[in-house]
This record gives sequence, C-alpha cells and structure tokens, in this order.
Amino acid sequence: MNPPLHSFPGLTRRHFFKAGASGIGGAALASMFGESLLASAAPKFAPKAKRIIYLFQSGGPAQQDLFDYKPLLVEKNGEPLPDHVRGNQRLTGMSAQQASIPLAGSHFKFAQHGQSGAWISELLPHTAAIADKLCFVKSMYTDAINHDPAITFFQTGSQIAGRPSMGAWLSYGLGSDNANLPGFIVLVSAGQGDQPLYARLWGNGFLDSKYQGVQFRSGKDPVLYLSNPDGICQSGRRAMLDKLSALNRVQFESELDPEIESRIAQYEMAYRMQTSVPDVTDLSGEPESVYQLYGEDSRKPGTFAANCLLARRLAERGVRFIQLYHQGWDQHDNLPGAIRGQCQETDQASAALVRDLEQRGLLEDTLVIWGGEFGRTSYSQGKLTKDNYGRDHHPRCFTVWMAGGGIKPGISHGHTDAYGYNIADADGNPLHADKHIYTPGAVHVHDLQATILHLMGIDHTALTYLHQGRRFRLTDVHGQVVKELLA
Amino acid sequence: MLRRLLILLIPAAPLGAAEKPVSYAFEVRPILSDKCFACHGPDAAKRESGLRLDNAEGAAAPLKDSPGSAIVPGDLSKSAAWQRIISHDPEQVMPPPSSHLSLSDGEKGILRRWIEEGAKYEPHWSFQPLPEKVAVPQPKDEAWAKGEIDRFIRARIEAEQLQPSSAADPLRWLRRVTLDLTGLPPSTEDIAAFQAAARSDLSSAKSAAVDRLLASPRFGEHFAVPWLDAARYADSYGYQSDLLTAFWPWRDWVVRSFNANLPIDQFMTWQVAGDLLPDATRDQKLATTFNRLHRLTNEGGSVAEEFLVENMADRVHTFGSVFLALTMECTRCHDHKYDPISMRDYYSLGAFFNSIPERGFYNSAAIQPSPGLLLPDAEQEKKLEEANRQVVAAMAAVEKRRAGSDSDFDAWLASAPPSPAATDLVSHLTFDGDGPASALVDTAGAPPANGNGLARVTGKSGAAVKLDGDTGVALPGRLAQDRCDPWTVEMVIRDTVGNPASVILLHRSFGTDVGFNGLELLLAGGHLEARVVRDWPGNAIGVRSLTPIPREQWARIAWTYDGSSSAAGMRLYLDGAPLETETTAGMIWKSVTTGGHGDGAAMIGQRFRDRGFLGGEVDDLKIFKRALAPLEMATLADPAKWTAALADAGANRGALKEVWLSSVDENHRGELMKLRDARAAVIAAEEGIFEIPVMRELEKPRPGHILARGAYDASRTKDNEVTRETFSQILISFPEDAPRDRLGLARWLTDPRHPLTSRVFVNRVWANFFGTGIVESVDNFGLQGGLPSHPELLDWLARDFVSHGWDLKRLCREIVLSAAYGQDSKMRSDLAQRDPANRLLARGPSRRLSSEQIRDFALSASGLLQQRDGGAPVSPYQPGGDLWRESNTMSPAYHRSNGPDLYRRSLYSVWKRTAPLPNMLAFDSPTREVCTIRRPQTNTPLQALVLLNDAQFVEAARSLVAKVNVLPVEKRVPAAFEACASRPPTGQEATLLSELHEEQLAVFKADPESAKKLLALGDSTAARDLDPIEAAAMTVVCQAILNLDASIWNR
Repeated sequence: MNPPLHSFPGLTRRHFFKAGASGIGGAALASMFGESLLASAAPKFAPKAKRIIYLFQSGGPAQQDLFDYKPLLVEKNGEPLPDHVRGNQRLTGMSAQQASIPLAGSHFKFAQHGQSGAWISELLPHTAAIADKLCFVKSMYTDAINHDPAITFFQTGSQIAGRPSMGAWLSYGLGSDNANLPGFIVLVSAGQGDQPLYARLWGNGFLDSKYQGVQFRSGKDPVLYLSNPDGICQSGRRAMLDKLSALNRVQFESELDPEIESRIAQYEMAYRMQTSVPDVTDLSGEPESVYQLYGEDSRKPGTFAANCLLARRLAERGVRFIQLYHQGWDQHDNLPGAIRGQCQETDQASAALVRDLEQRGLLEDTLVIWGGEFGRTSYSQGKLTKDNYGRDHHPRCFTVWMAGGGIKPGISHGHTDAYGYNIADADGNPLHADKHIYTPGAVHVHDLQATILHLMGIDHTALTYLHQGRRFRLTDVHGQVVKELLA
Repeated sequence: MLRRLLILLIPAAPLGAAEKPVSYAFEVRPILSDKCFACHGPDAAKRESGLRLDNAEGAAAPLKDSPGSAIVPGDLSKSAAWQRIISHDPEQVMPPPSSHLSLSDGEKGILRRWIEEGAKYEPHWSFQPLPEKVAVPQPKDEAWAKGEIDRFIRARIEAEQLQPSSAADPLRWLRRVTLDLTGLPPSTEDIAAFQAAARSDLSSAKSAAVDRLLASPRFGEHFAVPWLDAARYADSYGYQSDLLTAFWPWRDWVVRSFNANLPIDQFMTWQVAGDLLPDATRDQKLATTFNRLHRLTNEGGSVAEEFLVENMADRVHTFGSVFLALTMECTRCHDHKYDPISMRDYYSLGAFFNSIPERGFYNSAAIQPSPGLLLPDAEQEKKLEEANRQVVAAMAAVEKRRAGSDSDFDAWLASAPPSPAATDLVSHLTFDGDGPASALVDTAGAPPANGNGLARVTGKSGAAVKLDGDTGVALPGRLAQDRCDPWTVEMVIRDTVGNPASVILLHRSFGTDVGFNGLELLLAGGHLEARVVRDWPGNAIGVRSLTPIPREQWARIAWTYDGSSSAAGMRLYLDGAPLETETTAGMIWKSVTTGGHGDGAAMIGQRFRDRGFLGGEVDDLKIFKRALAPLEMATLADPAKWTAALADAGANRGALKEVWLSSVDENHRGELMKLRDARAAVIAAEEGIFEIPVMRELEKPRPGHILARGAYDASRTKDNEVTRETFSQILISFPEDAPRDRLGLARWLTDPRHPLTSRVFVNRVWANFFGTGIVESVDNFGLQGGLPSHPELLDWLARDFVSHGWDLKRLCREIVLSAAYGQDSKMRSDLAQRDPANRLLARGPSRRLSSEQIRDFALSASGLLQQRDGGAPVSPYQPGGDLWRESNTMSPAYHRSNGPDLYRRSLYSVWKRTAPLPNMLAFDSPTREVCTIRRPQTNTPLQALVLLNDAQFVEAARSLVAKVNVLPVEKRVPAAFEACASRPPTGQEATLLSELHEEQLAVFKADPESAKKLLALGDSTAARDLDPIEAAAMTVVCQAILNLDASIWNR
C-alpha cells in the first residue's frame, strides 16, 4: 500500500490525502468521504457491481423455515437429533445442557417457484415470486456461535473488535461516487429490539474514521448534527460560513498548511450535505405505485420497507455501500409466530427492492445481499410441542441470497444434509468444510466476502492495509471467490 | 550503532549516499522484513522451502530445493535470492505475484549493493540493550541549543543543510505548551501574567510557566487520556448488551499518579503486579484494574473457556502494545512473522495473566465480576470496621456461653432427652402420592412445592420424584436467605445416570446461563459440591467431597452451613457421616441474594439453560434453619445413633453438648441469633461499598497451553503445556532472583537495561508534544515498525529518563523548554518540499486538538468548564433520541447530566464502548474496545457539522458572548477571539469578524423570533438576559471564532 506519489517526492499518497496539499483543489474536495487510495489495488478486472445494498437480517433467520426445505425433519419431528449427524460439533451454552434435543420440522409449507424450481417457504410469497432473479447460497458456514462474535465476524472478518467493517474496506478501496453523500451509509429498522447492534459493525477499525459508515436515521435529523440549531437559518449560516472561510484563508496565508484548505473544503461539504441528505431521505415525492410495490410499511419512516426504498434512492445517487439492518430473527422460542411477523416485515420490501432496481436498470450493477450472521438448529431449543418450537444458533450451515451485480440469477448453490444440519454434497453426504482449505460446495463467510469484493472489482487478497506492521485484509488469510455464483 | 544519518526520509538529500555502505538496519532490513519475512522469517511453521532470510546463517545455508545458497556475500551471480528477485519469470520471481508485493528499482538497488558489500546482518535496533551512555553531538551552531535535546536536533538539521525555524511568538508558545501540558488553552489571566513576566525575561517566564503547568492538576487529566486509550478504559463492558460498569476509581488513580509524578517504572509495576507487592496498598491493588479493563460478555450461551482465553489474550496483547510496542496478536495463532516472539512465548506470557479467580463473564450490572477490591470511603470503612467488631464481640459471647454452660448441659443430659432433631425444621417433603407430581404438601408447614408434572417412582420410602434434567421441583418460600443465615439441607437421592457435568440438586439463585448468585448443591463427576456464591469463583465459598457419591443406590446426602461465610463453616454428609472435603473457593463479600434475572426461587434438579439432575431420583427432603450438629446428622440417618450416644454419654459428651447447644440451650441459641444479626450488618455495610475488579493471584498458577490456531477448544496436552518458566529469554533475560509471577515480570519490564520499555515510553511522551514520535509507529517497535528519525536522541532520552528515576515531569520539562519545541510551526517552502511531515523538526509542531481537547477548549474558553477532580462519569449532551437504546434494547437508557456535570472535562464523560459519544468519535476517539496506542487525525465534514450544530458548541458560543459582554462594545469581539486563539486578532481578522457581526445583526433583526430560539438552546442561561438580537448575532460570531483553525489547531 501507500505507493509514492510521483508529483510530490517524499510524500506518500496516503499522507497526501490525509494532510491535503495545496494546489490540489478538486482532489481535496473528492477526498472528503474518502476517495480510492488504492492505485495499486484498483480494479484489475472490470467490476460487475458498482454498489451494494446489504439487507442484513440480524439474529440469524431459520433456514429450515424459509429456504432450506427439509421434509425429513417433519417426518422425524420429535425424534432426537442422531449423534452421527451432530458429530462433535459444539452447541451454545443455551441448549448444550438440554436433556434432549428433539428434531423440529418446519410448520410452514414449501413449494417450488419459478423456472429454477427454488424451494421457498409460504412465509415469503414475494421473494418466491422473484425466485428466478435470486441466487441462493444454502451452504454458508461461519466460525462463531454467539451473536456478538458472529455478526462482528460477518461484518469485519474477525470476531475480535477493532477491525474495519466491509463497507469501510470498500470506501477505503473505492471511495465515493457522490461528492455530497457519504460512500457508506447504514440504515437500521427502528424499534425492533432483540439482539443489539453497535457502531463497531459499521466502524472503520484501524482505517481513518472517514471510512466509517454514516448512520441515517428516520426523523428530524437523518444524520446526527445535520440540522442547524433552532434559530439559525440557512442564509445566515451561509453568510457565516463565507466569513469563516475567509478567516481561515487568512490563517492559511500565514501558516501555509494545506490542512487549512482541506478544512475549508470540509465546511463546504458539510453545508452541501445539509441539503443533499434531507433531499435523499425525503420519500414524499415517490409515486403511489412505488409505495404499493414496497408495501404499506414503506409509508412509515424507519421501517424496513421505508429503508429499502431509501436504499434504492441512495443507490441511484451513487452511494457505494448501503447497509440495512433488521433485527428480530433470534427465535430461541416461539419461532412459528415470531418468524411469521419477521417475514411480514421484510418479504415484500426485499423483493420490491430487487424489482425496483431492475425496473430502473440499476440491478445489473447493484449487488443485493440478504441474510444473517448464522443459521438455526434443526432441533428444538426448549420444549417441542404441537404448536411451538424454538431454534438455537447454528453456525454449521445457513442460507443467504444475492441478486443483481454480476450474480448468476435463478440458481441455488450448495446443499445441506437431510437433517439440515451439515453442509453436504449433492447426494447428501457431509462435506467437511474447513476455512483453511477451500471446500467447493461450501461457502465460508470469508468466501462470501471474497466474492463480494470480486464483484466490486477488487481482489480480496490485494485490498490490504498495513497496521502495526501487518497487512490486514477483510478475509484475513482465507477466502476464495466462489466462481459458481458469478454470472 | 545507528551512527548513520537517516536519509531515507529525504529523497533529495544532498548527502551522497553512495560513499557510505548500505545500512542493514536502516535500509535493507525494512525491505527484507516487509517483502520477505512473512514467508522466510521467524515463523518456522510457515517457512517456505525452509529458507530463512532474517539471519545470516539462514541466508547462507544450502537451499533445500535447488543448489547453492540464497545469499552469497559479495557474489550476486551466486546469490539465488538475487537471481529470483531480478527474474522476469512469474514462476520464479520473488516476491511471488500472489503476494501482491513487489520490489521497486530503488529497493532492488539497495539489496544489490548490500549483497555486493558483503551482506552483513545487524540486530534490530530496538532490541539492542539501551546504551549506558549516549554521546551528545556537537552542532556547529552551539548558541541555538537550550539543552541536549537541541544538540541532537540541530546536528541533524545541519547535516541536511537546513536551518531551524525562528522561535515561535511567545503567545503562540504559551498556547502550545499550555495545551500540550494540560489539554486546555491558557486563560486570559495566564496570558497577561506571562506577557508581563516575559517583558523582563522571556526565558525565565517560560520556565515559570512550565513549572506552573506541571504543578497543575490539569496535567494529570491531560496525560491520562492516551493512557486510557491504551488501557482500553471505558464505563461499559462492551460486547452486545454492553451494560455499564464502574472502573472510574482506576481512571482517577491514573490522573493522581501523573499529578503526583509517580515514577513511571512504579506506575508500570503497580499496574502489572501491584497486588503482589509486599503489603500492597489499596492504590497498588487498584492499579491492577489495568488488566481487567478488557471487554466482558454476558451473552447467553457463551462458553466460559472461550472467554477465559479471550481475557488472557487481551491482557497479553495490551501488555505487549502498551509497554513493549510489540504486536502480540499475530503470535496467538503462529510464531510471529517478523519479530522473534514464538507462540510458546505468547502462551507463556499468558500464563502470567491467567491465574486469577475469574469466571470469564459478567452476569448483571449489579454484581462486579470477581476478583474484586472493595473501595470504602472513610465513613464506610468506619462502619464496616464497627460491624466487624460487633461480629467479633458476638462470637466472644457465643464462646462465653459455650464455656460457661456445663451445669445446664449436665442437667439436661440427666433427663435422658429424646433426639431434638426436629427443632428448626422448616420444610419437609416426602414426595409421596400417586401419578405425576404436582402440588406437594409440605409436612413441616412450608408452602406446597410444585412438582411440575414430574414422574413419581418408588422411593427410599414411599414415592420419590424422577427428574428429567429440564424440569425441576419448585420450592417457593424456602432458602431465601443470605450467607449470614445458617441452614441444613438433607435429601435422599439416587443418581441413575451419572452425568459427567455438574448436576444441580438444589439452589436458590438469580441469574442467566452466564452467572448465578445464591446457594448451590451440585454433583460434579459424582462428587458432592456445595457453594455459596455472589460471583463464582472469586467472590464465593465452596467445598467438594474428596470421594464420589455412590451411583444407582439411595444415598442420604446433606449440607450444613453455619452462617460464618467461610468454607470451614460448611459440612457435607453421606448417610449421616461427614464427608472429607476440599475447599473450592474461600473469599466472599456482599450479599448472595442480589436480584437480577429470574425470581430466585429454590429448585430441585433444574436450572435455566443448565443441565439439571437428569435421571436423578429425589426423596425425603428436609430443610432446617440452623446447622445441625454432627450427631444430629447421624441420628437423622439412623435413629439408633442417638440412643447409642446417650448410652455412653461420657465418651460422647462433646457430641451431645454440640447437639444441646445447637438445638436446646436458649442462651446459646440467643447468642447465635445475635451473631447472625451482626453478620447481616456486615453484609449491609459491604453492600453499599464500591467494588472494582482487580488482579488477585490464585494460590497455584494455572498452566497454559499453546492453542493451535489460537482456538480455545484446541487440544490441551502435556506436550503443548506452557508455564511462566517457559517464557524464554527474549529481549533481556528474566532477572534470576525475580519470582516467576507478574511481579517478576514487572521487574523484567522495568529493568534499566530493557531495550524497549523506556524507549517506547519516552517516544510516546515525545509524540504528545510533537504530534509524531521519534519512531513514527509509536505502537510498533518491531521489525515492521518505523525507524527512528533521531535514533541517538531516542536512546539519550531513554537513558536520561531511566537514570533520573523515570521522572515524567522532568522529561516533559526538558522537551517543552527546548529550542526545537519552541520553533514557529509555519510551513516553509523549502521544508514543504524536503520534509513536509516535519520529521527533522526544522519547524515547530502543529496539529489539530484531540476530541477531548476540542470540547474542553470550548468549555474552557467560554467559561462553562466545571473543574472538579474525578468521580463517577458524567453524561453530556447527546444528539438525536437515546443513542444507547436505539439499536440495543438491552442497554440502560442514556440519562443526560444536569447542572455542573454537563460541563466537566471530557475525560469524565461516560464512555460506552458500543455507542460512544458521537462528537468524540467524529474527532477520532477510539471506541476503547481494544487497546489503541495511536489515534488517526482526520478531517471530515462531520467534524464541521459537530462544531457548528452540536448543542454543546452552540451553547459554548453563547456563553462566550456572556463572558465578553462585560467589556466595552469594541473590545468584545477581540476578547472572544483571544479567549479562543490566545492572541489578538489581526486587523484583517478583526474586520472580517466585525462584518460578520453586522451581517448577523441584520439577519436577526429581520427575524427576532429566531434570535430567541437560538438563545433558548441548552441548559445554561448565559446571555439570555441580554438583548436577544445582539446576543444572537454575537453568538454566531463566537461560533465562527470557535470554528477557526486558530482555535481548534495547536500551532
């Protein structure tokens, strides 16, 4: 990293942008939310996707009830999970001590959809209707078994805090395509509760803080501190900024420090954001047909549906990485009722987003990803009754789907065994997946991350940052681009 | 060593590099390390083709895969490595394309010359012992230097044929030194006093100012901040629910230590091992909280062993980064790729930090994770001492009655008394009946127990319940007592399964699956185990039977406890006979009935998300509200024991008397009740006392293991076992007479010969003043770290520091009174080309204020700042809704402070790791989830939005208006400017500000309502009594001033 900048001997490129430099004008402006610093890692092959909308389903949706059709579980409902299926895999402390672990068949009907014949649960009619646009990866697996480590691992490539998030890596690698909006924006469904989310998941880690995700909130101030204080009008503010700029210029003439010029530019950018952010977050101009497409919820600011619609608007404006979070999938008990509610909140809008992007010609270079941090167990946590069951965390296999931006549509990749417990080959024989040795058919989180970066035109082994003497990357020392998923 | 001047910095350097041989340490090794060592370095496990290039032997050794050697000194054509480096064949070239690394022509040139010149290796500079004496260079211009530091700096500047910058304007210097020593700008009075003194003698005015600042309590507050980053100090646990904790007494200790100028070797020693110092003081123990500041989880389902490993690892990483500037993280999974630290050393170092009675989790915010330290204030201490005195007195009264009761006892014995065992029986369940157990009648009159539908089987007598592991018998209204209360629990059980994991027979506890408090009776691998727990294992008492309970037969088990809060006060019985036990935990304080999760009801055979008594059968439960005497226990199992004892009353006199004292003698029983009350008073006195996690060593250290790939569940065998003894002699040898514990480790660390400790520390102090260390990578002195810009100066400073008693204030004084520090910081055109990063220090330092400084500066300049030392964290303004609970419904709510607490120094603002204060994050504060040594300095539009729109800064601007309003009109704007920039405005600046004032007056005249709104913002009433239009216009002017580069930069 940090190749020398030929026009400024002795200055590294990084220093150059960090410090700004006199006479670079436009470049300093472009640096405000982070331009690409990666001359050397700049795409060596054409990117298929220019931007990502990641619909993160926090808590871990139950694949057996949504995508991974397992009739055997219904057949053997209530029987204990056979030891040979469980093997020596660890369970969480929540169900490891349970006296028995009975298999729990899904209460929901599955049917095949589209030309691809994808099995999808009755809970997701809208998703089912676009099955041929989606690529299901049913053989995901991860390292972690509890929420905090697992979601941190998914979003930063490490279970330990302190690493940059995926969006921060992309901002660092590719910069922003919009001079008036951050390149990495985070939207969290309001009022969901359940497993907590935190700034670390969209943090910059050891990268500069300009690469951290900027959370847009519903309500008066979509970005913290965006609005003028009560009593300050925009024209008064403009007049003040002009004088501030002039004063700082006086200081610059005496100090000759390019940082001052850069600061002047940051104030201009902040001023422009005061217009551009409310403009993009104001959904009131959207036509009725759009609300109907995304569903009634999309009229309520802060819902998942409204955030999906907002994500499309951000995508239209060139925001590089739009990260949605929807909490509430952690169904240890009372799963049948809870998952129905979750699906009602997410199904229509997720599908609508894909359709909407497609209609606008954006889907081909927008990568949409839908999934959580791990899967859930095929056995019931807590008591299995006729009407009720729960599922514990399960890192050994789970499903995500992707669409658009260079992804092969209408396919399903990977298999699980008949119990939905282990990743398997097409014949149902277990694949002993190991992140240290790439196992075709199984997709480790690092493999998915490598594939996502690949679609964005980045070699995941080249997107590195030297921190404390070591070159770090999102995929650590693992990851393999899953070619089968590429269009 | 290190004689060679570092010219790498300055490509256009005039010194002819060609005349001098290439330096391995400064030119070659950085290339080899960065481009080659990852595959051909110290990590033996991943060494490609067996080739090692980080030492001469390895480079010269015959190659495994081809003839010859990698490097043949003086012979390029025979050096296989060189041939591979210049190869154009992608299969051959080194580094290989897959590494994404490549060598530039310049780098190749250096390697070529190095090989030609004989390929000499030198040891890494920072691992060399600190020289006893460092020669000070003699610059040509002697007059410039104010001390030794300047001679190094000037000599280097001269060598580069540059000139230093002129001295900074005295006011600029005063602002700089005040910000750098206290984090705050100089006050108007400070400025006036300094100017007056400087008129007669600038040099002594500067010296006096430095003395004043070093003596200010603000010094410790300012210096604490980077130490808090490094120590990952926060006010919450981190991880998902991120509940609040209270580590702030440790933060205050850091501030106090810096202010008291505690020698830094002691400052370090106390933090690493203060608890192990002889007769450790409270502060010495408190200092060890340093090792407990890492994150902790309470997420349900977490595995204890995983987090015990994480805790240990975090302590090792932090120790490595903070004191040694070495990156230990790599070494958790493999030998270090660059530095000579093996996995064995990593886990051996871990063995110094893994031996405290900790559980790995916390359960609720109400209970501090053990081991802890009580920090009573003077009044609490007095109360606690008094309560303890009362216990001693009550015990004496008990003893007195025991000793003086023989005649009463003899009278009773003469009456041939029946067994008194039913005395104090509070619960008796027979489980008799038919069908599944539901409401179970208690023959002793306690409320019915709930059998929850458990199956009945044939019991020892009548029916018993059979447990399924997930369902238990609930026992409402029983055992709801604290550790001052005595009890006896007796039951008949049959273990039909023999679960290896602990099986719960009975407990009363509040908690989740990551923590309980209460009473527990367990079967662990067949052994009977009893515990009274506040936080296992460091705040608990417990015993375990040495022999297992027989399986698959009825066993009458019992647990008596005398309320003494000691393991010795517990006895376990099998079939009426006492079991031999060992102590599993022996220190407890505060209550064990602290509410939390759950209702705290006693249960048989089941606990939330734990393995219950699967397959266990339970019959005939009795609970007494006293500790029964041994003879009573025997009698319960076999009534004949009583008559037998009476038959030989002479021989059994002692045992019989114990029964009489416990169950009959009202005098003795009355004294016991008083003792119980006295003990309850001790608990009550302890309850309110602040407690903080610290280090407390286990009697016997736990072994460590080299964990493959760092995984907690990797196999642990004798082969991969490590101990403190296996910590090899890296850097310098472990002192021979030092104990192999953390105290010995601290002695090793602070050994005056240690190559890293003092260099690392003085480098960080240097960075506090110059923005950048002499080694830029303040967090990494390893092979991949930066090179010192002034190696001899660093050594001189370190040696000087050590030989003057690790005196921090003296070091600061030397630096800030140097000519180098006192230079003007304006950019010069020659330096813009030659040394834009100012590594040569031919000009003074300049940098943006830190996040804390920016807020503190605004509070201070505007007069809002409330100066109060230490204490619990305060909660300043936060924008938006409740940012703590927004995405985390497990979090407590954010309660903004009121009154003076809104305006305390930012160091005292509450720090929540997963939701830190956004106006601090915007200015590059780290989250404090992990150790951070170096903050970036960025420049973003969000920073502009914070400074313009954050209530804190708007209110500060308005307060500044009120502060200057007492002055004549024409002096107000200049005074506001001076309060922020510590200098009067220039004519041009004054004009611009006055124009701004006019414009804003017009704006608010046109819209007076807006003026009122602006003045209404914030809690402070400042300026609300002024003319609203004037006050609002001036507020905007002051906002502009607060946003100036002249304000938020230290130049």
